[in-house]
Amino acid sequence: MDILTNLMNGFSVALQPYYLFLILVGGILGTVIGMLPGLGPATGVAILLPMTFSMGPTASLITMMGVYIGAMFGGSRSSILINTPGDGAALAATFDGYPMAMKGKAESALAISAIASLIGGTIAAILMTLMAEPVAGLAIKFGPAEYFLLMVAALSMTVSMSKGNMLKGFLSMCIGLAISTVGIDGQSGLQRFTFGVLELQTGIDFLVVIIGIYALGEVFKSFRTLSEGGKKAQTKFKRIWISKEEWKRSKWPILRSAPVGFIIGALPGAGGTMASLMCYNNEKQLSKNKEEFGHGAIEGLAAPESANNAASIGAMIPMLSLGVPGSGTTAVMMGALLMLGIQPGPLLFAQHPDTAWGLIASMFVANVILAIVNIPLAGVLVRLLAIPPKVLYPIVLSLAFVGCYAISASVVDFYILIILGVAGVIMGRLDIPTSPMILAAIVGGQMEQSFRQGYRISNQDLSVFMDSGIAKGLLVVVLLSILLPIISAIRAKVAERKVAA
Amino acid sequence: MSNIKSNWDGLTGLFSITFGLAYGGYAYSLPQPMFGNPLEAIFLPLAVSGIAIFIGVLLIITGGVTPSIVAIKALLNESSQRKEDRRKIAITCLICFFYAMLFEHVGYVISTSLFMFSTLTVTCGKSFWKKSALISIIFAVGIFITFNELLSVNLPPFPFFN
Repeated sequence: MDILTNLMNGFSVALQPYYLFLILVGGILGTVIGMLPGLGPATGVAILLPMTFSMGPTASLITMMGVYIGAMFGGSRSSILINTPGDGAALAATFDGYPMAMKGKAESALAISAIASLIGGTIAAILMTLMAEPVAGLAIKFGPAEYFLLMVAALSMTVSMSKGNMLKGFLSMCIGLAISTVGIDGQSGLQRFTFGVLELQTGIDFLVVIIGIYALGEVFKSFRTLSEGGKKAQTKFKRIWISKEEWKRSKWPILRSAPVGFIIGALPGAGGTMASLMCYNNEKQLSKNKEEFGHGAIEGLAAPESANNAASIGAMIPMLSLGVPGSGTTAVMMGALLMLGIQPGPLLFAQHPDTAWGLIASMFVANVILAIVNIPLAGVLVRLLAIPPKVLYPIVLSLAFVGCYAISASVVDFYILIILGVAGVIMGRLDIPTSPMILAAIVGGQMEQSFRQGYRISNQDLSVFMDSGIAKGLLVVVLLSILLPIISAIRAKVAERKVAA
Repeated sequence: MSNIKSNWDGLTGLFSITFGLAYGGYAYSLPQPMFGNPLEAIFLPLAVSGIAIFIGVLLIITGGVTPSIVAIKALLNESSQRKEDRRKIAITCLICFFYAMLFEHVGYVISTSLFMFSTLTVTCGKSFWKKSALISIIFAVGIFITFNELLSVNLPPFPFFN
């Protein structure tokens, strides 16, 4: 009952005309950025972040939520029309979305992707409503030792998601942790790794790391597609809607994929890409028309679209309830909250109920608004795909720099941004995943402080990190997340040898 | 060697070891804090350094060095189109550095117009210069007005205005 009352209060915030306007504007901008090849929701939220600086915390978060959900809606537009996903989470939409467009069913593809996103997002928002406060209630029992282990668990899970690249995932994590140690140490006052540069004393803002890797790095990587030439998108459509038969085929895949997407999204580091690919494969296994998958099966588009939107909302759970971001986008949102003086985590619901519940209610509202924007206005929005990337990429670069300046008002961060952009390209070339580095740069500082607090409180007795039930549970998660991929890799090698023999 | 599958593991491992040694060495040479446990401030850096070195060794053992040499050779022998892409990235990085140097001295509008014009020339070619110039100026002025007037984010003004 409490949850319902709180949600209603949240709706009374989110449904105010000012916030509806912000969701609409944020959603349209997010859709536009999400549509651009290579630029996902994290880049969208990062470069549009300065837009929220003059707003209060609630307005700022609601706008970012609009951008986030808009980018998730928009990501699949380019997948369907030009076979180029806006970001990783929209990759699965190319498998059947593009073949549908090629068969003259672009209208059905655009409509089902928006409908699946709406239903997936709404189911996830309901799950979020039910789970956010209980998870936050559990997190209140966390002491420094448990917080330290929670962050270690988030890092180890993110590293273990670096499929086939676990060692490189660890290296990426080490670089991120090294970035987090730059600046004056909060407990001893010691200057670490500042190399005499005054601006580095306050450390490297993790938003600069995210903008560097996601905006500059992705644009640099996209230079390759400039020489390959863009594909022309269809911009004229008949009525964008689906038939009864198409709905019949899509409804169960949509409903099945949403909870799966939500759970995967809530795991740190997993995200929309994994959720959409997993649900696509699930539907392929369950379908009676397996041979149609990859050739324009509507359920092959509906399932991943529902899953990736649900995952984007699931990723908000660790950020809002535990204060640990579950994805790059939620990391940017967390940074914005911290800049506004609000600490996400278990106390957010008690100290800032308007912000927390307003945000949750805005998830429902944003999904509806974005579906309305994306179905009838799809024909107008996709015209942007006709703008050549060679003009758009310099604009994104410039927005990245202005976003960075708005955060710190220091050009020293420009140099860090450029270095990180180049690092993003090199890491891509060497198959080093960037997610562990970003998450480590975000949680590294807090993780170190929690470790040292726990260590001091216990009179330098390390057993404090194994004492409580929560600590033991988290240690098991850490061990399993590291050992399971190793065991499965060994088993795969043994099976491979048996086949060869 | 032509049958060996290329990968970057060996080179990445070498980088990881170098990074671990340099980072750990620097951390160890940091002055000790005036109070508290003298090693506490370098616990994490030393742990990170140790993990990086360990990972580096594992990467070299599992990946080997020869596949990395093959990968480097393949990179050097890539098509001229790929080399041109890399040249464009390098030029854009240089433009970014110049932008960073100019930004606070000549103000947002002038530095951004120059930056946009240069990057548009890299991506669109010299023949596009009229449109590039127009887009650059409109974008820089538009963003300056939006940020300064609407979003209350103060960007460096023109050098001849205070």
